Amino acid sequence: MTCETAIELISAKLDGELTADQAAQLDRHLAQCSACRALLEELTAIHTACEGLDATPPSALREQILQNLPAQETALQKGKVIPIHWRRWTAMAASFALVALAAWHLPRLAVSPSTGDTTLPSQTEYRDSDNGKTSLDEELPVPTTANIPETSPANLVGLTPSPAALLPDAVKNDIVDVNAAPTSPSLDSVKSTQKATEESSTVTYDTDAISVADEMDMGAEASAYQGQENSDSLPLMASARMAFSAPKQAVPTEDGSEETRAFGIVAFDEEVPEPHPELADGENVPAALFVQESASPVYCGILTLKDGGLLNDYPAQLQDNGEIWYELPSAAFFALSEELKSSEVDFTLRMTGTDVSSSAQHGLVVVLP
Amino acid sequence: MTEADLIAKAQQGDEDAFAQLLDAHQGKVYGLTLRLTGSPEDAMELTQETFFNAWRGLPSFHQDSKFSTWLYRLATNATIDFLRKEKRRRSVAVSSLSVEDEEEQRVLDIPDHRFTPQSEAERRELQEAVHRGLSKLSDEHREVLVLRELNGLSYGEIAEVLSIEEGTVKSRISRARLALRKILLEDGNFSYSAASI
Repeated sequence: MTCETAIELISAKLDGELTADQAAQLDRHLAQCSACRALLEELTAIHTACEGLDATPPSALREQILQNLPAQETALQKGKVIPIHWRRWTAMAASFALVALAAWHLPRLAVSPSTGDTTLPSQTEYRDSDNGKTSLDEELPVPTTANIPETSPANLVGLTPSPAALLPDAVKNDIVDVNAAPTSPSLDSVKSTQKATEESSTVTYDTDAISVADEMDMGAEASAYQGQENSDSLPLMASARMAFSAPKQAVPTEDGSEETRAFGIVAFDEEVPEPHPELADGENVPAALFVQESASPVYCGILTLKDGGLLNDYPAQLQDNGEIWYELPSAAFFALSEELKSSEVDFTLRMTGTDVSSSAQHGLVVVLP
Repeated sequence: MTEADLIAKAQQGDEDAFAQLLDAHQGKVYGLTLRLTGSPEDAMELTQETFFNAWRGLPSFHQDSKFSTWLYRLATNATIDFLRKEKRRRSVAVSSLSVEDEEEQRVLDIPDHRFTPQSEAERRELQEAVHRGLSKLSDEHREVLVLRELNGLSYGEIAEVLSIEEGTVKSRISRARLALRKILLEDGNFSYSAASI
């Protein structure tokens, strides 16, 4: 036995997790290795010192808990209960927005430079973008008409790059002509904008989006995401601008490394109005709709539990009105729907509406308070 | 009344039964959240959140795992989420080392010395040093070590709480102990006799 192996067994010995065979092996090693014997003693001392880790909670805590107990849920299904990870939803929502932001560059990711054929990046590739491993950290190429696909698949509605010229009127009127053909910003104007942007150390993200803002004479200042913009007249574009001009910041990740993320995307949740129903199936939609899509994802169905419980293993979002929203993969969603049909649980299932699409990959479960 | 009876009553909305469960477990839950966060205020909030979630989720708890394990899972998840959120909010590295850092610092050339606590005072001193050392561990190492040493969970239970493989628990605890030992050595809290065994 190597010392490396012995170390793990020494630790397991302290925890009473050794099998008889492992204990015998370890004993044989310890008999001939003084270093590991010394380590056993050291780790035993640490193990013993850990006995004092218990802590006495403040006396007020008990009453504080008992006097503020929330309404108890009723059991929904047989499954075990997982805590409400509503915080995790926040991260997920941010990730979703970031993915959508990365998808702004879909043509660059998806179009073959030689053939111009449009291929769809897989979901995995989107997630890679979310991890900051692909497009977001790279220098972005200058968009041209050649790399804008003529059509976009229905399930990518809103992800088509925005033709700058289409945006102002569309936004000002809050009505977008979904049949209008897109036009691309001219190469020169984009290049000049890109050059100007490169000189800025603050705004590092999205040069072609900034060019859109420039053409609208709205500027592309970093202050956009700081809430200083006047969004009264153009709330939609203000939100879009906030998102597209969001600077990147390095943030620590769970594994201790750093990744670069664009901040300011939270504006999606707070300022973007409901999507215009006529735009839901449009092609070549402008950026404004893209932002709206981020705020209102389409589901394969919406299940409302009138007498709900907690769902396991799915991120939950606690709403202000007390509802809990769960986003389930479509397979799990439909499985749950089937289970509910054969149960006595009171529920409604909605499979129609502008926020429902049979091709969506997730379903929404709303648990009423 | 057994704990199973109390759980059954609490599942029916009996707050007195839940209060007894709270009395039995709040110390461990508070200790867990305190050791993981290092902050009494945060620990209070997270303990409260844990028991709120427990109360809400009790009707769906089917006792296929121990109640304490289930509670620790609620507490650990709430704390992990909280710590991640805190880190992102601050956008700065916290004092704890990453697992990789600890791996790099791992001492493989085991010294041929023996730690010998000489007195009760030394033992207390070591205890305090261990508490401080825990706060310097990576979150991953601190989680497994606290669940093991404070909450007394088996490897299988820790695997259940953290949703990781039992083999991972075993190796992670081992590395966490070595990392903690390394911290104690660096801080000068380990004294050695010159005698080798």
